Amino acid sequence: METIAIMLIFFILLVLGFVFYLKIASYGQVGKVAKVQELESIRVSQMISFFPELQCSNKNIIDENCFDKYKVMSFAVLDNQTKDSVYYPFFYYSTIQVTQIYPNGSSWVLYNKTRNSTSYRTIVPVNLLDPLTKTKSFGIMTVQSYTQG
Amino acid sequence: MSRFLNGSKMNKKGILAVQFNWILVLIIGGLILLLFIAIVQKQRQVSEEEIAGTIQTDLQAILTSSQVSTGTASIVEMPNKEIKFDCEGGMPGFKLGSQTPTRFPYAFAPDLIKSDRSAISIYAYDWSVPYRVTNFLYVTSPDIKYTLVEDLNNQDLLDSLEGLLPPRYISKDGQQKLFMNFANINYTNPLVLTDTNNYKVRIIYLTGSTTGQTINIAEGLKNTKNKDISALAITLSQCDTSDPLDCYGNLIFYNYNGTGWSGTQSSFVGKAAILAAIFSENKALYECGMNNSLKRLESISEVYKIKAENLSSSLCNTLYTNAALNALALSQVTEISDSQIIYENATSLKETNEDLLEASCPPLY
Repeated sequence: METIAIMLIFFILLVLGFVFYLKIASYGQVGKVAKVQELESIRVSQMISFFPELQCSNKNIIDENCFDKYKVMSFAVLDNQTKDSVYYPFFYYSTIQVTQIYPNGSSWVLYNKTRNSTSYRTIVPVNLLDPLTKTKSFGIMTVQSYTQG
Repeated sequence: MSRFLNGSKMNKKGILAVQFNWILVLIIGGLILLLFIAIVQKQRQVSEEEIAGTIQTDLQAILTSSQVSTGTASIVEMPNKEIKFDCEGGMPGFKLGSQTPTRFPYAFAPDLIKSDRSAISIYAYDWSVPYRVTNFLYVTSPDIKYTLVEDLNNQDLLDSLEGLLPPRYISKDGQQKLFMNFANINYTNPLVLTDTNNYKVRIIYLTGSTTGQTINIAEGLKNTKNKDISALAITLSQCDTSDPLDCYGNLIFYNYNGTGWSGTQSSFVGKAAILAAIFSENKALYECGMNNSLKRLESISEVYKIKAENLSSSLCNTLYTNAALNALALSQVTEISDSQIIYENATSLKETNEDLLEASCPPLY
């Protein structure tokens, strides 16, 4: 009888310990997932900053941190079907917008695929080049990334 | 007598109790042992999954950064795990164990990547026709042997190809590490290959003319399975005068069956596509990445077409109109077999861009 009681207590303690361990492990996982989702927005903004569809170039030589205004305008009017099939593997559920700040100007939505979930926003400053006048204006690119649920 | 009998009954009871205790100890002991074995097994599984997850995350980070710079070679260190490369749903992907595959539309690799050196090699190169469309990403193992066979008619081609390939060794943490195991050999019929115990062997044969040389392998690759011996014949059709490999042309992907070869044809345009064919195990994996690249070419050409149309109201109207027509033609290409159309329109766009610069008008790209 004594032996059985000892075993019973031993198993109860073992189960309690195991449950505690699982709980701690799952808390750690939740933290990791949140961090990954936050990084996703930064990943998207980093990736689009280097897209040849938008970058300023001269004979294929890239001018970094600069968007060609004519390319931005052209990209914004691409049909949604093309954007879905080509750019979804890079941007997933995101809204990407470029706004000219100084001198005060237009705003272009480059990609817009939303869903009802938490979102993280990253803002990146960019130069906007007008190739005709060869002048640069100051703008910002806003990337809003939606989490998986 | 009855006392003796009573005593005997009590002894029997005692013996039974002792036996019961031993059985109980055995069962409980066994259960505890099983429990701990199960925990250890589970922990091992979890830790393996964690390692695979870390490698996948590293791979994803490299895929993202590969979009940024071209001509970069990097070695990723990883435990001796097998990475499977496939094309599910038209999207190339790298899969480790039971992890969700890391997918990247413009990746080219053999169907299985593993390395006793615990490292995989990753190289990025831009595909420009004539404007940069995207960076292609090539993944391989230093344990795969690439054999470049010289062309009898034009030996300079092999030097150009060697110049196009990533370096054999790169420096990492102050050490020279093997990045890509390639060597060139003289053409003989049959080819004499030395067995260097590689799990995959790929023979690359580059010719400037359409009269191909026969590829036969002499006995020698005992330690490589027949299915892991493959060959690629690259035939250049038309090239840029300034660059002997900036061409379009035909490809034949060969698979070895022990006695002979079975080949399937495809096409290429640009140096990045030649590299893509070299790194891809077969036609299916090559065309998987190329089809995605053509979709990207379609959308980027659409962007340039609209840009040229918007600029055509300015000076250099005719040049922009021509550029818009070339970009339109490029945006309509859907198959890699149309490599000649891509090459011709790209060449024309390149010339137009030069003319725009000469006329002091904003270049298209």
